[in-house]
Amino acid sequence: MKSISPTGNPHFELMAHHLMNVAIELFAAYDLPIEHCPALEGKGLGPETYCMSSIGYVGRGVRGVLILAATRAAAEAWTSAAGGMDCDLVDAVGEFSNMLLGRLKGRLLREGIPISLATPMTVIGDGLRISVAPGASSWQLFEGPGWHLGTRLDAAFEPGFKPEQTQAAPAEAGDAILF
Amino acid sequence: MTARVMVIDDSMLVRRQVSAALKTPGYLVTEAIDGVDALEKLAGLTDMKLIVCDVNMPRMNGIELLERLSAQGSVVPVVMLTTEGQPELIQRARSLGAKGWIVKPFKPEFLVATAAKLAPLGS
Amino acid sequence: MVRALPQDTYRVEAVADETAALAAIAREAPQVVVFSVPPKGGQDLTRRLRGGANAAEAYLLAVVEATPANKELSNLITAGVHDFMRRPFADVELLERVKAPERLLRWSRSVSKPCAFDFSAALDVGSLRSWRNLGSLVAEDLGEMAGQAFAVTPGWPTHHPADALCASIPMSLAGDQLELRLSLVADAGALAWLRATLLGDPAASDDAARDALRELANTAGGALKRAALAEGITLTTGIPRDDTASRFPGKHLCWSLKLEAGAGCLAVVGEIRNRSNERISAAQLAEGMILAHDIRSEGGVLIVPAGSRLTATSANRLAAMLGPRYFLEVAPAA
Repeated sequence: MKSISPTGNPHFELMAHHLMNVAIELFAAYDLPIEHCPALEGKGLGPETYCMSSIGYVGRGVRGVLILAATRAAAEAWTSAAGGMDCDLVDAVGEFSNMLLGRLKGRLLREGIPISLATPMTVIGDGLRISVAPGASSWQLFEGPGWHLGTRLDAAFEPGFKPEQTQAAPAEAGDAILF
Repeated sequence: MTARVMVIDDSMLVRRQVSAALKTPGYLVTEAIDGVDALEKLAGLTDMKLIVCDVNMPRMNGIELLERLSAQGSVVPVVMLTTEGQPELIQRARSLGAKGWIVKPFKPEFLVATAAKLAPLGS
Repeated sequence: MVRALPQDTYRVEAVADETAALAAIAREAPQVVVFSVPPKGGQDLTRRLRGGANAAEAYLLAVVEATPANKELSNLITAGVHDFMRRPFADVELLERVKAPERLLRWSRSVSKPCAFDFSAALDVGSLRSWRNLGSLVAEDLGEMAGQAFAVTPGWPTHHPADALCASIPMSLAGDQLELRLSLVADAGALAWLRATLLGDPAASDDAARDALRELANTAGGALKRAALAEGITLTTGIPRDDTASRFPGKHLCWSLKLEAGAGCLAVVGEIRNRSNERISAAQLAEGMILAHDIRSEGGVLIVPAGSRLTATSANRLAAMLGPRYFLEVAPAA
């Protein structure tokens, strides 16, 4: 069976696939179960978007941005899960986007795509919109208990990009390495 | 002819093994139980020629000690002696100025050869 | 239904009845089976489809009438249906429902696991070669340290006393909320050997003997850690500590490592524990906690990577740097 690849890029499709899984796991870890809703995917959350957090990342031959978009109800639910009164909405959303990309980083490392992350930048407001990115880009939408969230992964690959073949082998017992 | 070496490890057995290996060719060995203890003792010693240091220790681990020594401008060569073999950790130690990495259980002859290269007796 | 699935993406075979379906499934081992549920007997049909040759890993998508009873849907799911659609349905809905298992299939193949359509990505420690071969792994490194070979046999040693000396080392997988604990238990003969051979003093103190056993546990943990790393699993090692052997053998993985000439025996025990991560303020960081994610400066520079075990030094430094309003996810200290 040929894989469906809306961007035509199997590396991007792999990253998007992992992103979906880590999003579900992350929110489940905070008792905020979410379900991926492929039927809703299109151009993001639309006018319901109340906050967005973006984090840049860069790897060898790939760079891009992860955007986490949420409705107001979602942001409030996350703020409550993140610490209630001691944690404001901007912090909570930024933190979740950071944890999301952090988890994705771990998965990609095992796939031979190590990335470094920047710090999240979060904005809130009614009717937020974001520009279309060059390169591969796709939204994934999720439904939580009474709210929605979206993730947009952007990635620009350099020509000839391919995941790293193997990681360096760990040192063995008795090895003595001089630098 | 001699040279002073510090061995830093929270395990008495390892300190004893390293001491035994290095005293045989003639090194003087000072022991410390972790990074905090090591810094206190190093402050009072000016003739240290080599540090052999574990990574996983309570209070201050070997990587944190490397950071501290680097910040102090220490020129004493440091060799890590540890069960860790993770390439990223080895690279991190190297970038902090470590001169070597030995994986436990270690062969005494490798430790002695390393000491001879980094802190030759009588130099 | 066939027309709804693009021919350049899917290889579709349509059959008219159950007999033809079972034959096609056995022949083609399809990844997805879409079938219409009859007014009666849907549960039995599902069971027969599920039980057919090459059907164990197929994703079953049932098409039901517009208003099926909840009980009927529940029965279908119990019988093995993974998803269902109601008639009438648009082509795009069928396409979307068929796409869903594709991601799961790709993921399950990538981790070389049977396709169980389990959304959990939790690590199955038992599937790691390094865990299954723990006894041999440990024996090799301890043998290197001891200057002798151990004879390894699975199972708890026959004459180990319940109050034998024990040291253990915790090894954390913060991202998976798991803790592995590796323990070494020494009988009287092993202790005597440890004093005489490792410490060079048959009259070495109890404290020295415990320290030596802790270092053996540390070495054993290092062996497991490096072997797991070769399988792509990064464990965070804790500090070895004294422990009690009273909970062993229990339901744990264990091996007996016999010294040469019957001098004594070390037991190696592997335990797996679930440890839920905690969300805490940076002000509450303490020695032994393990970070579940990277900590970065405002400029994006990595300060402490995920999986790092905090010492008192780093815990205090992070608390001062981040402040009480910064929350982190950590695995609790072992």
